[in-house]
Amino acid sequence: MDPRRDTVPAAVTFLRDAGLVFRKDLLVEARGKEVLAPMLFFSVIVVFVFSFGFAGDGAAGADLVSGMLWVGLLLASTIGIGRTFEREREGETFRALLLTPASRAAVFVGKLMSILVFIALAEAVVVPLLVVLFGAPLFEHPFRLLALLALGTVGLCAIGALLGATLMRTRGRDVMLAIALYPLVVPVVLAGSRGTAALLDHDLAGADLWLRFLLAFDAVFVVLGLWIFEPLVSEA
Amino acid sequence: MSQKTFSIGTLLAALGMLAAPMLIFLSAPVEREMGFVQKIFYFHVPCAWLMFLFTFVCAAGSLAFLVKSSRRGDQVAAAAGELVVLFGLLVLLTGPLWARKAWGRWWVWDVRLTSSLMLWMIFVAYLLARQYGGPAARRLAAGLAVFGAAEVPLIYVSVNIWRTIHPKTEVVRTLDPGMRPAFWTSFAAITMLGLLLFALRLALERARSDVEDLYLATED
Amino acid sequence: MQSPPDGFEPVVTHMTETVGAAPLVVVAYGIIWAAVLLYLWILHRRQARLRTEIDDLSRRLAEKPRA
Repeated sequence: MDPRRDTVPAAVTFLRDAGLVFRKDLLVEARGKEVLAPMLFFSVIVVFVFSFGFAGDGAAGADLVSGMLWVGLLLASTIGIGRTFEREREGETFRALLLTPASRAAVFVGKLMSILVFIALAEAVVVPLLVVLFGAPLFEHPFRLLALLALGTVGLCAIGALLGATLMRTRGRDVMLAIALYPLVVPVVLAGSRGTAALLDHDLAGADLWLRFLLAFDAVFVVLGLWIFEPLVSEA
Repeated sequence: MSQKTFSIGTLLAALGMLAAPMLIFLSAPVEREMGFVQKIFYFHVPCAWLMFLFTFVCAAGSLAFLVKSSRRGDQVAAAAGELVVLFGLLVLLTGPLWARKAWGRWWVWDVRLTSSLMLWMIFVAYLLARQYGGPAARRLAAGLAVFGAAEVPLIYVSVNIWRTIHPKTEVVRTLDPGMRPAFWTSFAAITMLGLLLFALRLALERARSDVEDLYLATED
Repeated sequence: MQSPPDGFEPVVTHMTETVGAAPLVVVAYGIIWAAVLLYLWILHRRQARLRTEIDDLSRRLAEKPRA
């Protein structure tokens, strides 16, 4: 127990605890690699499945490429979130985490940050892959693309992490996660996909509209998530 | 709810449900542009309103359950959740029947119908979560309900932005005064019916909760 | 009659003219009535099942020797 805890402002403690959880997750992953490797491979194979399924003649327009990107991300996120919490459950580490003096919200934010890093790595693979396969000018407006990806991923993962944590002790968890998550994140996938398509069509105003939407969505759900994380996850 | 209130409610709902079609078909004029098929709206719109009402009731109950461990809140949420799915289903079935006549296709990605569909899916997931969610079933479902309700404006806005690129299928126009009695009677009748169903379902849920308690008592 | 929005064109246009409004309206109201009645019946069945459970449990509780 840190005797100086009482004199340190709550915000600093919060960030520090979240950072600790975040760092722990990255360290564990660096050793075991059980989340990242399957997720990256899965992302790549999904792009190819989509390519053969939707772009049989080898060409894909803005709509199709955007769709592949975002649906692929959704699928990869589901895998990533499922694996992350599976690992926690197997190690019984989550209960230990909840017993620490760290606030539940800090644990949530730390976990969320590590999941975000994993997804970001998947994006770093999928986006160039799509550029190469279909010649899609995804890098033409890099900042907006980055913003879309960042905001969309936060939206997906905030809700996904909450549901994943709630479902940790449930058998058949992955299916239940998808069932609960997908209806809730339809607006994110819509916004991300349409925003990316707008970028590919050089419709910057359209893309900005979707960006603003994602910002509002994220604001609502990160706040909501922080608020109900504790009751959602605690074993009543 | 006392037996008397319940009987009065049933009577009112039954009367309303009988009066409404009479007004709809005998007194309300036929809409000029859409024709006879517009009559579907007298029931379609109240069902939509009830779907949204019960969405927020379910979310409120779920919040009470999550934040204050209110058993009553969970019961209210369970009952309301089913009614969201019931009335949502009615909205989604009657909408295309109108669309088929008006547009020649069953589904035209109309903003309101599409948004209702997404909300409905969230609450179907709610029922699935309650049933198959394992030890965390109630909490998961509660989370879904709260998020779902929070998403009502967000879903609408996102689908709206999406559809502004395509021609809108503007459906509900202002109500001709000749149509108002029929509309408001239907509205009241269906609302009465919805509240009645809710009361019944809630009573069932409380009974089920009591049975669970009894089970626990016998196992001591 | 207005043309439908984007996407596929209806395959055979004359089909829409032969689908009358009346059957659609009747089906719509029929669905609503049927759904409500079905739901009421489902509730009734669940309630009956619960009642037998309650009777059974109350009996078992009464028969239990108090610890």
